Amino acid sequence: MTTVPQRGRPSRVRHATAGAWVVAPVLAAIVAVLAASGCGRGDLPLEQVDPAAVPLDPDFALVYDIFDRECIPCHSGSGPGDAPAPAPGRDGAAAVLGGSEPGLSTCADIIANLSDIEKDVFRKNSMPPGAWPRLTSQEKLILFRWIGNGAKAPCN
Amino acid sequence: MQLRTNDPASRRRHASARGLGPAAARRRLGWPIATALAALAALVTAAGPARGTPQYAARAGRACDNCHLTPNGWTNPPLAQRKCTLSCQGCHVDPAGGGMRTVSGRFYARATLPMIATSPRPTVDWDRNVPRLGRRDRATTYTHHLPTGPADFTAARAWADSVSDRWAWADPLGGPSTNLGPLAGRYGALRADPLLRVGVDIRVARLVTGGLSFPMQFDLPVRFHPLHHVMFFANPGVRGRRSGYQRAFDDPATPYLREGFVMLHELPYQAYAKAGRFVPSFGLRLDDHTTRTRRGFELDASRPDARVTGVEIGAAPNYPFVQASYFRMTSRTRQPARWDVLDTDRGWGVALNAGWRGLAWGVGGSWMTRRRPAADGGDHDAWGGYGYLNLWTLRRGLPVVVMAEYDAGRRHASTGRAVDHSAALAEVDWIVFNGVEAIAAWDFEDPDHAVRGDHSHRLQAGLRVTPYPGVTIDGRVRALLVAGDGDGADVFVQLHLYQ
Repeated sequence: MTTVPQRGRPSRVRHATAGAWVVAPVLAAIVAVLAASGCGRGDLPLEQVDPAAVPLDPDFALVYDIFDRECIPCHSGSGPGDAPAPAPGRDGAAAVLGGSEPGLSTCADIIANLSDIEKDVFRKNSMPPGAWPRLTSQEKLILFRWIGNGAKAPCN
Repeated sequence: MQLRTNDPASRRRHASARGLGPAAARRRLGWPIATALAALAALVTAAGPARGTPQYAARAGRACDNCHLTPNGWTNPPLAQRKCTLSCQGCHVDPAGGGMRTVSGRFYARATLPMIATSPRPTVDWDRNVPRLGRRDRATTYTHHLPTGPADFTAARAWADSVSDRWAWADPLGGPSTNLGPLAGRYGALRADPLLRVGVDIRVARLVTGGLSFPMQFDLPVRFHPLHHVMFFANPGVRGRRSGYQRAFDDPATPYLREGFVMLHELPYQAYAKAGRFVPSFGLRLDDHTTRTRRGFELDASRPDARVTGVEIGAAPNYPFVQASYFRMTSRTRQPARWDVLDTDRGWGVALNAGWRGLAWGVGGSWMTRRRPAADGGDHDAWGGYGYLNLWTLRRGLPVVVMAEYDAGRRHASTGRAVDHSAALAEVDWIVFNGVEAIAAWDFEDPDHAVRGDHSHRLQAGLRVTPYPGVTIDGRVRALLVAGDGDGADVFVQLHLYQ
C-alpha cells in the first residue's frame, strides 16, 4: 500500500519520467524506420506492376462505384441546372465544394462531363479536392481503361 | 488544509459550496443539455462515427485530478483493484476506445478540457486560463483549499448523496460498486457506476475554402449495466455525407449499429471480455478517421465495413495493457447488415494490441491478420508501433504531448500479387491555455511500395477550442502533398458536441 502525497507531483509521476528519456529515442526510431521502409520507392505505374490488378475492360458498374464513393458526395445533383452558377473567378475545387459544379449522380451526367473528369483526375490530379485523398492507383486505372475502351455505359 | 470531514451533512455543505451539490449541478447542466437539444433538433438529419482522442489520454498523466477529484489522503488499493490507467478504457466505455465516455472520461471533459470547468479544475491548471477571461471555473472555489474526494472505499459510499447526473440513472442491482467499479464520490456530481447511461455524439463540419457544410456524425449510444460485471452497449448512428444535411439519410447504409456488444467487466486488473460488433484494437484510435494509419488498414471508423463481429479480451493492470480479438468480417465488396451483428462472410481475423501507457510516456505494438478468399478482399497482415511522450512530466508547466505511429502491411491482391504498404503519423499537441490547444500533425501513406507516384503526405496545423464541457470547435489548415502534380490545401472546421 502506498500513499500519494497531498500536494505537488505524485511520486509515481516522478518515477515515470525516467522512462520518458527512453521513449524519445523510440519515437525517433519510428521515424527512422519509416525513412528506411518503402516510402515512395516504387518506379513503375500500376499498369506495369500488375496489369491484371483491375479488369482490362471495366464495366460501368465498377466505374460508378468509384463515382458513388469519391465524387457524388459533393457532386450530388443531376444535370447542370441543379446548382447555382459558379461565382466569378472560382473554378476547380473551390467551385465544386461550393456546390457550383454539375452533378455526377447519373450515367448521363458522367458521360456529359467526361472531358472535365479526365482533366481533373488525370492531368491536374486535383480531384477529390483540397486535402482530401486523391483517387488510388486502382481507381485511376479503372477509369483510364474504361475511357480508353470507349466509356461504355447504359446511357452511352 | 482539507475540506473533508467525517460528518456527512458537513460534506454535503462543502460539496454544495464547491458547486458539487444537486442545485449547483442542475444549474451547470442546464447549458449543455440546452446545447445538445438544440443541436439534436437542428441536426436530426445529420450523420458520422464516435472516436477517441489518444493525445487526451497521453496528457492526462500530468495530474491525478484530471480524471477524478484530487486524491488527498487517498490510499492506493491493491493493484488488482486500481482504476488508474491511460489505456482507452480509462475514459471510454468501449475498452478499445472511441465513443461513449466512462465517468472518468466525463469528469475529464468537465474539469480539464474546457475554458469553463464544471467539475473542480486540476490544481496545476488553476493559473492557466485564457488572459482577460479570468477564472472561468464554476466548480472550484479558488482558495488554497483543495476539493477532495473520499479517502478510501468505505468513505466513498457516503459521497453518493451529492450525485446529480442527468445523463446517467440509478445503480445496478446490488448497489454502487464497492471496489472493482468506479467509486461513488470520486467524480463530483457525476454518477460513477450507473444502471443506465445515455450519451450523444454529434459532429458537423465546414470546409471554409469551399463554403460547404456537412454532417459527420450523429450517435446515440446507450449503456445498460444491470448487474455488477455485466454490461450491454449499443451505439446506433448515421453516417455523414459531404453532400449536406438534406441527403444525410440517402445513404442506404444508415442508420446502423456502429458498435453493439455485451461485456464482462469490472474484473481484477481491469480485465474484460466483450462479444459483438466493434472495431478491432490496432494502433492508436484517432478522432480523425481520414488518417492513413486508419484508412489503409480497414480501420476507418466512419465506414460500416470497419466493424467486425467477434470477441475481445483485455486487461490494464495500471500501466501495461493488452487487448486481443478474434473476429469475422464481411467481404470488402459489401457492407455488413445495418443491425444484424452476426452478418459476416468467409474468413477470419485476429488482432493484438499491447504495450505500456504510463503517466509520462507510452509505447505499444500492434499486429493484425485477416484471412479470407481473394474474392472477398484477400489476406492482409499488418503490424505497427506507436508511442507518446508527455513533456509536462519532464518539465512542469510545459503541457506538450508528442505522439507518433508507424504501421506497415502486406495484402494479397486478387491477382495474387503481394502488395506492401505503409502509413505513419506524428502529432504535437500543446495546451496553450485551459480549453485552447494548438495542434500540428503530419501523416503519410504509401499504399503500394511497388507503384510509382502513389504516396502522399498531409500536413495539418490548427486550434482546438473547448469553451464549455461537451462543446469543441476544431479548426485546421490542411495541406496534401502528393507525388507529382495535384497538391492541394483547405481549411476545415469541425464542431463536436458530446455527452
